[in-house]
Amino acid sequence: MSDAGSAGSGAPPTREPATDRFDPRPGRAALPAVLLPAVVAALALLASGVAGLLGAVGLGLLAVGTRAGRRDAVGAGAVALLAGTLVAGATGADPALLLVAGGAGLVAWDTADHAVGLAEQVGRRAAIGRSVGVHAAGSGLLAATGVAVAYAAFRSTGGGTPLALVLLLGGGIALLRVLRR
Amino acid sequence: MTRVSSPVPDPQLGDPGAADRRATPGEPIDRVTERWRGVTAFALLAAALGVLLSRPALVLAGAAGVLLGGAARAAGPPAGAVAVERTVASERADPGEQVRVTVTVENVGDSLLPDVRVVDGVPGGLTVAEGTPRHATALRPGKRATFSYAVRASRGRHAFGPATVLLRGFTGTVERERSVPAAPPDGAATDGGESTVNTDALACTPELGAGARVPLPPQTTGLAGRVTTDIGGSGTEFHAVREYRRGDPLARVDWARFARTGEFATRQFREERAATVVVVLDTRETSYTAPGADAPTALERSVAAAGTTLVSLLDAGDRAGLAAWGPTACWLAPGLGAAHRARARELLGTHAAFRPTPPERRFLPTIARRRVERRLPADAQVFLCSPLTDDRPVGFGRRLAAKGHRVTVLSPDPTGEGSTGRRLAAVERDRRLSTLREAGLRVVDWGTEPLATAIARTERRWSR
Repeated sequence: MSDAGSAGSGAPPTREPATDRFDPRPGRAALPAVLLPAVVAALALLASGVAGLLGAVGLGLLAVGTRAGRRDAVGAGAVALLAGTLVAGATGADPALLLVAGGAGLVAWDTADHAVGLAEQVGRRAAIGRSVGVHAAGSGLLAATGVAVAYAAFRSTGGGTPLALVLLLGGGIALLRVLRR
Repeated sequence: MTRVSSPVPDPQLGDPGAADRRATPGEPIDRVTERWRGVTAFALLAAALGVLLSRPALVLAGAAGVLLGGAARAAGPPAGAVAVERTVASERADPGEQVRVTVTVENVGDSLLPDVRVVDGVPGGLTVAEGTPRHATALRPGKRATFSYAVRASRGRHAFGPATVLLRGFTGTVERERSVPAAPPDGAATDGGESTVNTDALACTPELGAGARVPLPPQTTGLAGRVTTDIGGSGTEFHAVREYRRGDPLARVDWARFARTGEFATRQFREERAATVVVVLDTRETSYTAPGADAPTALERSVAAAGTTLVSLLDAGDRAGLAAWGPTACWLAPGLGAAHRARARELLGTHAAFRPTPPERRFLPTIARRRVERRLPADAQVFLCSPLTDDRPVGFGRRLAAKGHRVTVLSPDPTGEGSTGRRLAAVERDRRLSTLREAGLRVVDWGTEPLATAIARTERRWSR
């Protein structure tokens, strides 16, 4: 900003917070909580070619979006990570690795979106580290539980008869339908 | 309101008011954030792709995603309760002084609140000088979080509003907005049940300005003062010569004329008398205009000008009063003395009629005009402070003039430059100034220069 607009140039250069505007970008504190799951997701995708590339792109977009407080960049990063998961799945990646990539990608997006939304409401100058940390932990726990339940169901049916999976999916959709009302 | 909206606005129907609507104390608002909608869609896409390509792993990932989406959707609004405590460091402050505000949020419910966002209710007329009145945290039951910031005091009586608290669960599916009035801190000193800690008030009454001499047109009372009148008598400025009458002081006998003609004549001087002046401030909503976002409003400048005028008049021995012409009435009868001056300062500083944020009450033109007219003493002059952003003050000023008051219009210029609309407003205002001048009113057009300069510049073109 070029307009300092204050008299008294001889005064010591004290910070004048009243003149700086509301800054809706999350501070540095949110970045680690976003990057940790994003890196896990990208690493899980690394094994399968094009998916690895998508994962790296998603990681970068998430980091940039979180830093700049841009929802569109965060959304694009999440789409890239999940698209990477799709590609990896389509090219026949290991189910466990796929679950880890998807779950970690979700957590990364959720945390980044939370941080950006939070910063929009409370601004850069408020401390948001605690809130983002707690949210990331909760989101990670939820994702881990979901992935574990799905994987346990998958294993218990002997490594994936399609019928069991379709039933699982059908159950999920029914649950969603009930909750939607 | 005829329509009663459900606590959770239906995303299908939409709740058009919900985005702008603010919670009030005792009536929280819930909003569905729709965050997880895209995730569920993506999970279903993955499952469909898995079925098409016969990849069990993809179906599995899709199923996991749907489960997660379902779990997120299952989360209801956060049920916890929070309490907010606030301490405002001082109740009165000088203009520009920083006053520290400390806010504590406490989770008084019995569940974990993973996402608490607090925005304190800073009054509209104050600016935050240091720190931020916003805070985000997570609170376990019984835990407290404290943050503080400083506001810069400015003229007016300010009242802090309730804090806005936004609560979300872990998944952030539903956001609950609460409006929480601030309570005094626990264990604070109380005085007969009332807490002595200041939680929501800050008043600031600036010193009345001085340094500008305000000239007055000749309309006076019978008392001696400084306004030069057209009445002949004792004084300093020559007025006329009239025939000698018995009892005229010898010092005023025109001896030169006696020597020339042998007739006695008495020199008359303009009498200097005191005036009664009522400063009327235009406090309607249109007075809250300013040339820029950070510039003072026309009302703020009117109040400063009124203060300067009052000081100048009272110093000179004139009787001065104060009136508000706007939605809220304020009247200070013309008077003299230190107590009167202190009263004027207090009124200009903190009276509701001159509050620094626009009034919410409706302006009723006839009632407001009568309120002023009824109380004006017949021999009072009027100083009308108005930005002249519409035609109404022009009519009001001319009406007062027609009733026999000498009216001086002091107009702080709120028009800026830049856009076509601003230039148009400036032209319209110039036209109103001309109308007033043509009607014989004195007009001071006060731009960005000091008030004394504006008065001195304008005074030269005034005839008596």
